[in-house]
Amino acid sequence: MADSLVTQMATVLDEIGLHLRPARLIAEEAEQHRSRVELAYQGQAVDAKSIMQILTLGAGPNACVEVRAEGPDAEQAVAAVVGLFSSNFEADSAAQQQGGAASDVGPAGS
Amino acid sequence: MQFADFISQGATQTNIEAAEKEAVIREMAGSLLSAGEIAEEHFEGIVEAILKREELGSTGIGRGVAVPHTKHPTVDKLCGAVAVSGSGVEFESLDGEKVHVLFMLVSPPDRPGDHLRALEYISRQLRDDSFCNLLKQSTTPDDVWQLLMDADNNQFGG
Repeated sequence: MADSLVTQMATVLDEIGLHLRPARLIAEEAEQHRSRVELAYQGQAVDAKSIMQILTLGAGPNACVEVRAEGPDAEQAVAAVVGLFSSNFEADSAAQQQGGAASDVGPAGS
Repeated sequence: MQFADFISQGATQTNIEAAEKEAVIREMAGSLLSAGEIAEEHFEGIVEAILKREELGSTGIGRGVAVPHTKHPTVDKLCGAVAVSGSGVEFESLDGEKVHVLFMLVSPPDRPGDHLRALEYISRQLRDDSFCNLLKQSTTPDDVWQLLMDADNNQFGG
């Protein structure tokens, strides 16, 4: 039986948008899954395992991004990536609070 | 947002001597200082901020490219530097590869949109293989600048 496509919408909660740190977290998570994982935004679809490709979306604050996966663990992949969006990349903000004072004047993240 | 809008022509380097992350970051920040984009009294603070950002996670984005960066209140507009390293720098990138092209960004804290747009533009241009490879093969700062301007003029697919 062919793998089916799994999709779910996610919102960028970060006030900067989908910048380098969340892009890296998404890519790291997607890389852990065997399925092909993509993000789609404004007519573009990119490989979610590539930080560079994610950044080309230029998804800003409140952007609605479609998370797609196709393969043997597609459901888990989509759930994991959507979970990152939902938590506003919690690992990102937690690490930020620990060590980022000098690099974060004003809003968190970079 | 194009390279001409945020990269300082005086802050392009191809003779990077450093082989380690911190030294390369210092060298690139030095080029921003020489180009008049950052002030000497803030140099150490900016370098420290960029290094702290690296501790949170490497800014290597794959394909031999890194984007070390920070926000800093002493700059009133986004400013950037470009460096090319022929031998490559270990940057703990996700793909495990050394980086050969680095874009350094220092942005004002109250304009995060500019930072995001610069990341988007850099990434879009570098997705083009010929642009990426030509940049890595650049041997003079003028070569680098000309390539950036060619990209701005849609000479590549980005």
